Amino acid sequence: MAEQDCLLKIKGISLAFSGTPILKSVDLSLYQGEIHALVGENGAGKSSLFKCILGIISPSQGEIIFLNESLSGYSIRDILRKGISMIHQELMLIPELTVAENIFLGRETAHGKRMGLSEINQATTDLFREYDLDILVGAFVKDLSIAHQQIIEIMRSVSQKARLILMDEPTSSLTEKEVVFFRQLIFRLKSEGISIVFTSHKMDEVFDFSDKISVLRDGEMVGTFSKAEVDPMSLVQKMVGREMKDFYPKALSEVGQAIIRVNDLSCAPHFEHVNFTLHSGEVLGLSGLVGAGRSDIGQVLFGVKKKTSGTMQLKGQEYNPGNPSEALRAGLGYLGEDRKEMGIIPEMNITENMSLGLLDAYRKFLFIDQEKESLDAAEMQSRLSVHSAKEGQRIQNLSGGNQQKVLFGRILLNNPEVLILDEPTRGIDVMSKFEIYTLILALKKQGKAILLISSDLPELLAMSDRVIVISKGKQMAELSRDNASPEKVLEFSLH
Amino acid sequence: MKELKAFFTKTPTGGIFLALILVCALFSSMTSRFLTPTNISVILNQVSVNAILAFGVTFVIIAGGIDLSLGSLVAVCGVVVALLSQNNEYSLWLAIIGTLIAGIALGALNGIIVVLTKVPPFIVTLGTMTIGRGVALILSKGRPISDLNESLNFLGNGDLFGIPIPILFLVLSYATCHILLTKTIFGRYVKAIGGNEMASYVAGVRVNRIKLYVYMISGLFAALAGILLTARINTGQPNAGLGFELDAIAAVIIGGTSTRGGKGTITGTLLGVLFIGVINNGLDLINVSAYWQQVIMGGIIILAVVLDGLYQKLKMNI
Repeated sequence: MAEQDCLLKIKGISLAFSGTPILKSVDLSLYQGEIHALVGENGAGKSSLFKCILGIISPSQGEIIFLNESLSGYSIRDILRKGISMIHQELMLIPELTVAENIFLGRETAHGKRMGLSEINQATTDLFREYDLDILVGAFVKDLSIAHQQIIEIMRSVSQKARLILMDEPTSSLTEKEVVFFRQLIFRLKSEGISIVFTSHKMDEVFDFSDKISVLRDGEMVGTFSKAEVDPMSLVQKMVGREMKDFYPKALSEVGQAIIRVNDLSCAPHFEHVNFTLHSGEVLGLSGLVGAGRSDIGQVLFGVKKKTSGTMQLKGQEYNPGNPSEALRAGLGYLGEDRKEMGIIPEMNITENMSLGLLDAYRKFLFIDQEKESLDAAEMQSRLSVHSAKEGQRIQNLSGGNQQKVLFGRILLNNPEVLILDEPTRGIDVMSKFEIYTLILALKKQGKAILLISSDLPELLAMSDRVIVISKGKQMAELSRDNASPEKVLEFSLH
Repeated sequence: MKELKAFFTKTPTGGIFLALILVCALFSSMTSRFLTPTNISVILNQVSVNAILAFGVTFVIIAGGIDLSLGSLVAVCGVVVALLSQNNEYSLWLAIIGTLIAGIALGALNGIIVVLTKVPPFIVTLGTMTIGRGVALILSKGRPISDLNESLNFLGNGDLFGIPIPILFLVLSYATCHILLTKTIFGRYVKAIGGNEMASYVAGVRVNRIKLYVYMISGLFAALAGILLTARINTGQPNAGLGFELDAIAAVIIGGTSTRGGKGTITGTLLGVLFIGVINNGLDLINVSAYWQQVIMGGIIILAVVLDGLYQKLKMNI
């Protein structure tokens, strides 16, 4: 294609957060009327790339050229006016306003004069007629289905004369029928000359919708391919294919007796009919996409969520914790998926964060035995090499890796037999990751039973003795260490 | 000097302490009647009811909640203690203990509704505020209750070793609450659930139980305040305590407790109470009209929070 058709050209974009590289010299070219799929694992840099294009974050290096003009220095609003918009995974509509009001939100003044409600409604009706949409312009957005809400967002972009629409996993919350309609709509946009970049974890959609496919891996652009150049299998290999074997410490140990048995466990609507056994001295990996139900399994085991049917056994005894406090006393430890939301108390210091929930062990009459508490916490802090600048430092001022180690300390202070670790290394530096891997293996050697939930596929495969794959709330496969390849796991996850 | 600077900049209550000293200096320079032993005793006596209420509600606010029903609880409990000590029907101790239990029960009602319904505490206690006022009027049949036990009057107006009884209650309440918040498991968990409720729950803290307790404490101290108020005016007034919740909450906020929960101190609340009390007293002494006092007080509350925000930022850079 000729150079003047090139709508968006990304040249050598790099980005780093507190020393951790997020994007490494990424290039991408996009032509008018092209549907372009952007694929990669969670954390490969897809959303960061989108944010750079939209001007939400500015890259440390490189340049983004849109319609032969560099976007650097332009605000989010300017870039929107130039014709780039985005459909987020969480829709950005105002539920209490009507369809038409949402579409014209913030643009009620056209050509210097204010548009009345009837004019807004008329303009929306015309727009919908043009695109054969059968949605009432006067309906409240809160009464619409997610699919319709998404269409409203897309039409808002269209009415803003968008030339390029970025879509973050647009089909993730659509039913199959709705996906068919969505496909028609984006092909219609394509015929109008609008370009689309979308992310998806679903291989069939990637191949069905797109003209070109770009693969991001660890912040690097692996390449842009036409559909003829790749097939789903080779694409998955490009997404995961990295050799980091030595990064994971090795420790083989004897797997002991069954500690936890889960029979036909369901927690509607998150997951159903899950079966597995967790042994002492074993790391059992739970794999699946974000939202597939893997985190919910951990939460049910720890009493954060309630099961809806099925049974759990702990060392042969019926086990059904009513809340995390009961699970804690039964000998379980839990590390939540989101450190900020489910882990730390930001205003409290390292000691207070470690002993949280465990203070009954430090009870002295009515009071806390603060001497014993600090002593134990200090010992744990040095054992886990938590680095803090000064004594009594608030946990919010520590790095992510150190915060995570403090939360590990909280679990270990209670000396549990079973550990449920949900994304133990998310968003932490490489060195802390390595320390946590070493720690997990040491715990395994001590005979702890460990349920490891992770989006980081190489990590999960290297650490786990067995891997269970969850997709859309269903248990798809159980793979032994020798049988579990990234391709296989991803194939089951995307099923 | 260095230690002094560290005290004002490093301790969380340093800012309000500094402000209190400045207002005291200001009033002392304007009138010689301000800094006298008698006037100090008067101030402490005046603030005792607000202080006791504010100590109790500090727990609620640190835990991330709010209690707007305080003023009404003061009225209900004031009426209850009056009814129980009318015509010497029951012993004074029975009347007091019965009233304190009533306060705890009413607080527990707030707590139970908050925990079970998940309705924001602002709305729940707004409701119980109105209910409480109604109950006070029903119990008293809308009339002041007089002819109370002589010894109840002593609680409000008497003194022990020359110290007025309400001031003794203030000191005792301060010590109890301070220890409860800083030294006990309960106090630690109150701060934890205000700081991050979900994380506390996942860590094994019995969040609902702690929430229930903080409202019970708030109710208990409201009952104590109601008893002292009834004892002081020697009458059970169903209209007593109007707007007391706002004075108490203002003192807590001026004292540096975050309205978003998670941090705060009883010492800060005490300083906040004294700050409000000193300004009221000082303005009286320099003959500012009661109407203008309200305008000035409102402005000072906003100013205090704005300045505290700036001060916290400044502290970060020191």
